Amino acid sequence: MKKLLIAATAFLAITALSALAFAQSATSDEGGRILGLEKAWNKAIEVKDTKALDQLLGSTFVAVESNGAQSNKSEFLASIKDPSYQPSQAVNEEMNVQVYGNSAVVVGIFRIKGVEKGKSYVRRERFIDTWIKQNQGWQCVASAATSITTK
Amino acid sequence: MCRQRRHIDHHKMNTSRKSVFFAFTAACFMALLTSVFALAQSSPKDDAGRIIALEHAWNRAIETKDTKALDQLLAPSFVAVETDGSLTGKGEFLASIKDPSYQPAEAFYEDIHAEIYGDTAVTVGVFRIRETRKGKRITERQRFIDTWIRKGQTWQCVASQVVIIPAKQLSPT
Repeated sequence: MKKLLIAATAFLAITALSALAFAQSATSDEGGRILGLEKAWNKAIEVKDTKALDQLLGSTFVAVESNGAQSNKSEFLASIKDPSYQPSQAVNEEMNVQVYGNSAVVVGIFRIKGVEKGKSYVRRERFIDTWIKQNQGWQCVASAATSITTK
Repeated sequence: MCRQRRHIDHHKMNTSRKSVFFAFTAACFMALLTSVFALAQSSPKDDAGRIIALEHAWNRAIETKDTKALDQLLAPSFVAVETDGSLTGKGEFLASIKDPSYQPAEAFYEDIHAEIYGDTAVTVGVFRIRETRKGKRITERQRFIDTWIRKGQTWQCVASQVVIIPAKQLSPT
């Protein structure tokens, strides 16, 4: 009886640990997926691929730009499409993702080089992106960027 | 005869039990269906109202430097991006509110909107604050995005970012 109890306890412990390991691995997989999507977003900006961006952003997408302006999905896509906007490099210097079930929050530093209205620029911005897992997969629903003015 | 009667009684009893059972099951099913339907119908609106109330509670907590209330509103994994682009965690954020050199006078929303995605909510709006920081009086309008996660019966903010709206940018949206 005692042996049976020990065996049952061991079985339950192993099952619980396996479930925990599986859950952690699933969360880490989702985190990796989101970081991949963030990189795809940068590539889409560099080549002004609004079709790819359309897939990455949710229909309710909202962005708060570093100048304090707010834009929705179509305004954001139009700003990327604008011929006067010529990005040459868009990279994330650092990124950290936190997954909360069907949503994820990415915090990082984004550096962009380009030419806008004939003027070249390099900007470093701290951003927070909120991603939601829906039928279409993961899509970004909110993005805010603040210029880094501290050293 | 007796057996038959008993049989009839037993059959009647079975039929009666079955009827009660079916009626009870049907009632339970209807109640469940109604609840689920009601929840599905009212939930996002109720949740949006709840989140906006929590945002207002956040402002009141800032005005009164109530870090205990803020501790309840912010998740342990909370991160904030401040107007200078610096990143703070929950502990640093609460410490900055507690700091005696920080004296907020008024904090309110000019505009706020909540979007619900199941157990996640995103609020976007314009926040106005009058405060004294290290002896300097400041009035700022900031555009913000907050992300909230449902935690049991309540919600907690996990991320908040603010961007200063330049004075010349008059339109709130």
